Amino acid sequence: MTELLGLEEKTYTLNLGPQHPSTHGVLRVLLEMDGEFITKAEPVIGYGHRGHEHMAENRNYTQFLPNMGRVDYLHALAYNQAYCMAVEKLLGLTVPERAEFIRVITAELNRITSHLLWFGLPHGPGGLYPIPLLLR
Amino acid sequence: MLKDNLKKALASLHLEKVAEGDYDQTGYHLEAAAQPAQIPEVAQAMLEADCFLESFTAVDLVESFDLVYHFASFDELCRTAVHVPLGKKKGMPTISHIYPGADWYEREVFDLFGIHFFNHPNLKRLLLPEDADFHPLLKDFGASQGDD
Repeated sequence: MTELLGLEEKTYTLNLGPQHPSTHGVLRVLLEMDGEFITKAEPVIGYGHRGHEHMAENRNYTQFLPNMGRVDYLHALAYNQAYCMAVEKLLGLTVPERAEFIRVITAELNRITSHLLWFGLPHGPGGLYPIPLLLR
Repeated sequence: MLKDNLKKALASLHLEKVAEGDYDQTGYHLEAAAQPAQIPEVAQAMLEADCFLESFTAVDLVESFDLVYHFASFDELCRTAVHVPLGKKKGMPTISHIYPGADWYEREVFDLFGIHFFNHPNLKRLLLPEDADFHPLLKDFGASQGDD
């Protein structure tokens, strides 16, 4: 009888995500559980896959620039800068000093907001409250 | 120096090419080219030199595939690019038993280019849904005609 019910199984499979508050839609983990202990975890990714490489194949360098900000929307300017520097290297361009200063200033300002968001996410009451304040 | 050690180690494998790269232009100190069957030996040599697998990807050159393994080291700035001309064969030995991190890279290349890796422990799609029937980074993938 126990065999029929599957009660002889020592472990069971638990599905975590992708619709789960801690994975917010981008990660699913197939957990093998022994009671409350995780004995095996298989991540299933790709929910955030948007095919940026393929989009890049069909756009010119300038058109692809906005995509880079979507790779990490909390630190978009640094990604834009890295992309621009790669394109400049390919083309053999040197940017004016003024542009370099602007890049450093904007990237550092972006770093501050990115770190504030990191600080706000886990530390506030319930974790979520400070986000609207920090995004202002 | 790591670069000299690597050159020596790779030279003993009789690869097609082991040459110094132009680091300022390409970001790589060493450029090598190997046949598909040689890649496990190359990976083993890189592992023994304490290099890690930085990335692995494929390029669809329409008439052939070029697989590119990037190795780097935590101890010394020395980056190595190993190219593997694959023709149109779509089959390749795995290195996931040498570099466990290659497991997902190979799954990604399988997913996006349809290249199989022999003896891979878990070769299934990484990013796309498991029921997808296309490999989107191939140049003959339909949407290459324009995606807007």
